Amino acid sequence: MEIDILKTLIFYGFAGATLFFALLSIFSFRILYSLLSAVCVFFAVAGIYFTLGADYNAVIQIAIYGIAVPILFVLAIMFTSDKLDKKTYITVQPRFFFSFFGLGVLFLSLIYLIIISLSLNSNIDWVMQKQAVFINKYQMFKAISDGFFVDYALAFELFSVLLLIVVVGISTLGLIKEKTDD
Amino acid sequence: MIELLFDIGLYHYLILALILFSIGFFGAIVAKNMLKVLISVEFMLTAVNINFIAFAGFFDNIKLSGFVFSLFYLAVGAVEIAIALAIFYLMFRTKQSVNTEDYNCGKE
Repeated sequence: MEIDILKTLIFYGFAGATLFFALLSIFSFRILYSLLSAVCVFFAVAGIYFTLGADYNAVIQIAIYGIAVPILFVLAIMFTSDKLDKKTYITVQPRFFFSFFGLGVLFLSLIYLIIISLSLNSNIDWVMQKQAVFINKYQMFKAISDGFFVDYALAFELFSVLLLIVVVGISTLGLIKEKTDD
Repeated sequence: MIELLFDIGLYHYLILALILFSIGFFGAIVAKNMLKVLISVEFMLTAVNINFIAFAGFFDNIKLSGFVFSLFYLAVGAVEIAIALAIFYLMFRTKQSVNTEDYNCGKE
């Protein structure tokens, strides 16, 4: 079987960056560094999307998670930054250990499930399957527009209602805040 | 075995998403800073998105439904962050703290 070395290197590069920066984000001491690491994670995940042929999703991921959401977070940090950095690291209460071991069990059981699915399935082509047809850009945009406006039009409309609810909700929260101030 | 490791297939993406989800879940539980908890939740959402796109890329080359749902999910994630930050700011005004342990009202 022929191995595409370049694709392998790109995948492992992006995957390694994703996991490294995710861990850095959780364990970094200052919240701003944590946020910067999270931005790196989102950019690396956009690279993973590129390797899967989802260019449009990658661009949207960069635009929303790489740029827009961090701006909201930076505003929140500016509003709330105080001397509490040292007190607000990670907890060392029992929940730390419970979550650590619980996640370990979850992780190992899911890995076990993946391996079992490999061994149970006599035809393991689905595992070794490549992206047989490379997705071309025209096909991708056609599929996305069909999805939005034909196949999942109802979900699209419901989502616009959700956005409206969010705008009204945030305005209402602002009003509540002003009332409490008075 | 070497082929399994170096020949990138669907399961590589699944395992990457699994590890990222685990990191996000762990961070959401152990972080004391509320903003860090929100960032961890975003990691979990991103891991699910990787699964959507991986399955669509490998199995659904015609309709690419996973790509579409991933876009919905991205937008829902952004909305969730906007609402969560608004609520967070309101909570912050009451106690002037970003520490999650200051908000354990259930214990009182």
